[in-house]
Amino acid sequence: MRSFLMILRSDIKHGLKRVVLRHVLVFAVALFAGYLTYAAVFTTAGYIAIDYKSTMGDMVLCLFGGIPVYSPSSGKEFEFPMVWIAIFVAAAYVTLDYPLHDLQGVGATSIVISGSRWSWWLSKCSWVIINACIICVLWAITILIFTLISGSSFDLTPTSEGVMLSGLRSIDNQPHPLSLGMYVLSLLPLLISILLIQLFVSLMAGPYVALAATLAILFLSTFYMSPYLLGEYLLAGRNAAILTNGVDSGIGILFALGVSTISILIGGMIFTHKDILAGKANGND
Amino acid sequence: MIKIDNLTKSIRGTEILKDITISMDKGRITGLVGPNGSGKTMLMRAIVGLMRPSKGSITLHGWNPYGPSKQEAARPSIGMLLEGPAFVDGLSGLENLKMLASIRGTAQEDDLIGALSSIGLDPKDKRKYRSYSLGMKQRLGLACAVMEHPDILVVDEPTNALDVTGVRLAVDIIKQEALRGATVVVACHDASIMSELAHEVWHLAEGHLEGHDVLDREGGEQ
Repeated sequence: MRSFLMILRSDIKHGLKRVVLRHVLVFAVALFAGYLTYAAVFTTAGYIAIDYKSTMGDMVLCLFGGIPVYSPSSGKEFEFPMVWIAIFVAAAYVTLDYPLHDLQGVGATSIVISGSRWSWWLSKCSWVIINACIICVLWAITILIFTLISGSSFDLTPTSEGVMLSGLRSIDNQPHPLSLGMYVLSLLPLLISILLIQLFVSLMAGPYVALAATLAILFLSTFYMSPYLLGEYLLAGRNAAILTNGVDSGIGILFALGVSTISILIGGMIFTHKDILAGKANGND
Repeated sequence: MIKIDNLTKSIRGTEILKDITISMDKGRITGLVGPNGSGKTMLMRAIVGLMRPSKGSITLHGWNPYGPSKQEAARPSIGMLLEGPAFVDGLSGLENLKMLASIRGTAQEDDLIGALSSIGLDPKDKRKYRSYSLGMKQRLGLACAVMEHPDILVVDEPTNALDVTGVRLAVDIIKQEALRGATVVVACHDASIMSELAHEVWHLAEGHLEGHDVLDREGGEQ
């Protein structure tokens, strides 16, 4: 227990310092992405001259709405949800390479001194979870900023106009959108589960493969509508609050907890058998 | 004592260590020599627990570094210096040692100061690791390896990048650790240093043992 806590203390102190600029990038991307969709929504609202009283739920849709359900057989062109992907890729970038960098540097010494690979692994999982918490706080601040700027009400239930103006109108829309409260709550466990998968892949196959795996999870989720894809639950526009046949955030939370638990346990078991060979790193920031 | 029995390691179908059996006694310095790529560093990684054997076994004072974690109570302390040492760039030498020593909590600040001084580094030096020269990095790596006065000390090319004074200090430190009772494994290309340090020398070539010299020197438990 002591070795885990001491390695974690070092990860928090030095590992977080190493990714401060990446957190700034997450915030900047969220602000920029939010601004783009926010501007588009309010410009369109002004153009069609509707009486639009926006809510915080509309601001959540601006950032995390993604795209409506896409049917590959429909013959329609697939619209890549650049804003939504950029937000999550920026988040994935935060924790992408520090654990591997540490393992190829001072982390190997930590493992030998502690005699416990589990301490090192659990510390890195905890570090990833802490980063996910920070990212969610930055997203919450972004939503709050846009809520205040737009004079929206602090209600997580989007308006029908907000759904339409965010480009999420579909024949399956709820007649009256429901609260996105559960969706907002599910963001943290879902982000943690994706970052833990990425952590495992980065240690086994390197950071580039890990980022590709994260992108694949996100992209497949936008392309297909399947409750078996983690990213599906991150698309607010496909949530049951917006779509009559949308995904349930409660199930998303359980799914994320299951994936996270499996990633930590199976990842730890595989990591204890991994050969730790020399890497390029010879110093940790 | 370090006991290696029929150790074989394969990576992607290639055997990099082949059927190695060695016994290394407490209080003695065992040298590993061989050309580049002969498997010295891989063998050392296997000893410290960083590379799981494909076949065979390793025990350190009776403890299996790849065994179940419930054996933890029997685990000996291990100090290592493998290839290029690595530390946190933004910390000074002493701060780096403090951070690593906190993991087990057995070494006190005096031990860390003593380890730094013994290798010729100033414990009060506030410079960050990133500004260290190669020689200073190597010295810090050695100080880290011996700061807990470990039961097992594994050092790969301890004199790399060191000046004449540094080499002398490094040799003295390694000898002192063996005299204290540590089981020491050293790999070194410099034959004169190896002949001064080692009680016995194992020759490796292409991953297998080719020969064994016992040097005429007292020490250790036979």
